[in-house]
Amino acid sequence: MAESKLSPLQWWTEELFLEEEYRDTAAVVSSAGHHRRLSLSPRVVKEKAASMKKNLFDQASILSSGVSFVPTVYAQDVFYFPFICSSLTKCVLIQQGYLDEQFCQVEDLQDEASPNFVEEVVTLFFKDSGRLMSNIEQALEKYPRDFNRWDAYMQQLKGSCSSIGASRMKNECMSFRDSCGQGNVEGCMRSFQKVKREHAILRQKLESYFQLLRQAGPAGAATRPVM
Amino acid sequence: MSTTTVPEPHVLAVDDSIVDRAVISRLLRSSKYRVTTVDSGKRALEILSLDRNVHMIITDYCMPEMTGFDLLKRVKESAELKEIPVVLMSSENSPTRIRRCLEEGAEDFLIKPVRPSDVSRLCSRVMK
Repeated sequence: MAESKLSPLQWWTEELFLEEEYRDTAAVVSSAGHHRRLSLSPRVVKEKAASMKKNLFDQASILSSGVSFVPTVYAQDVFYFPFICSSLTKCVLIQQGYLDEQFCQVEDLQDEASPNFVEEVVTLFFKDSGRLMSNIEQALEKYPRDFNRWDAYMQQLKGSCSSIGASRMKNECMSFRDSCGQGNVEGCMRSFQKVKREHAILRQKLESYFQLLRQAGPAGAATRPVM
Repeated sequence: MSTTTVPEPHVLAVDDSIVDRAVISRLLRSSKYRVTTVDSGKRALEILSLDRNVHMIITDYCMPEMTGFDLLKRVKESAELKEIPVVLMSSENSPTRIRRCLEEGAEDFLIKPVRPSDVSRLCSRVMK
């Protein structure tokens, strides 16, 4: 069967955007008029996905320089769209500073015995960090100028951020602690608002990432390349 | 001919952070250790009184009520427990704190976030 070139995807560096018709891979295959029955073994899927990922990471280096690029994709590769998207999503999240290498270290702990480990840990993180932020909010109100108490709570939150590689959020936690050290109430309040904002943004971005990973299925379990 | 199965070494991990407990537990399990996690020094001492088959304790430094340093002291003061290696972890890289723990008998002091290479290095050295 001759390969058929699909219309290009358009990527932006700020956030990954898929033209709507490509979001549903099944719709793309049928709209292109090609029906290709994919009966690949998991090993083949993994190998294919790994080679696709490598090629796109090469292209993704262009993303970091702020230049958008337009990859062309072929009909038989449509199957891998969710995996491609999830890989690039993570790449962009790291390049934009939302996540750091620690996130990749946690992902590397996944195996057949714990295939969803990183999502489980991230879920724990958002549950626990919500509680910690609530404690901080109450402390800011109930214990005015109690910088030691505020700092102690924020130290816990900062630790959790550090453990999952939530880099931007961690930095805002550190700003808060700096303000505590300076006895700067206004600084603490400002920083805390930023912590909350980063928390909300990160939650949204990671939810999208995990949704893509779930769509990717077995291909999403391929080994990540060295960055 | 009978074969003896060597049991997996048992590590007691102590951390008040649920996220850190999950990560350190996974790190240790991926290195083929049996892991028990608890959220406080007090709970760690309860486990140790019930189960003497603990080959290493790895504990966070900053915990409410009983710090990791307090736990280290209690272990090293106990005739039954003092031979168990204790490793401290902290996100704060404080030389004073590190020195204090090592002088009190800690085997090592890890800076968080703990990495797989830290665990490999630690376990092969400490668990001998």
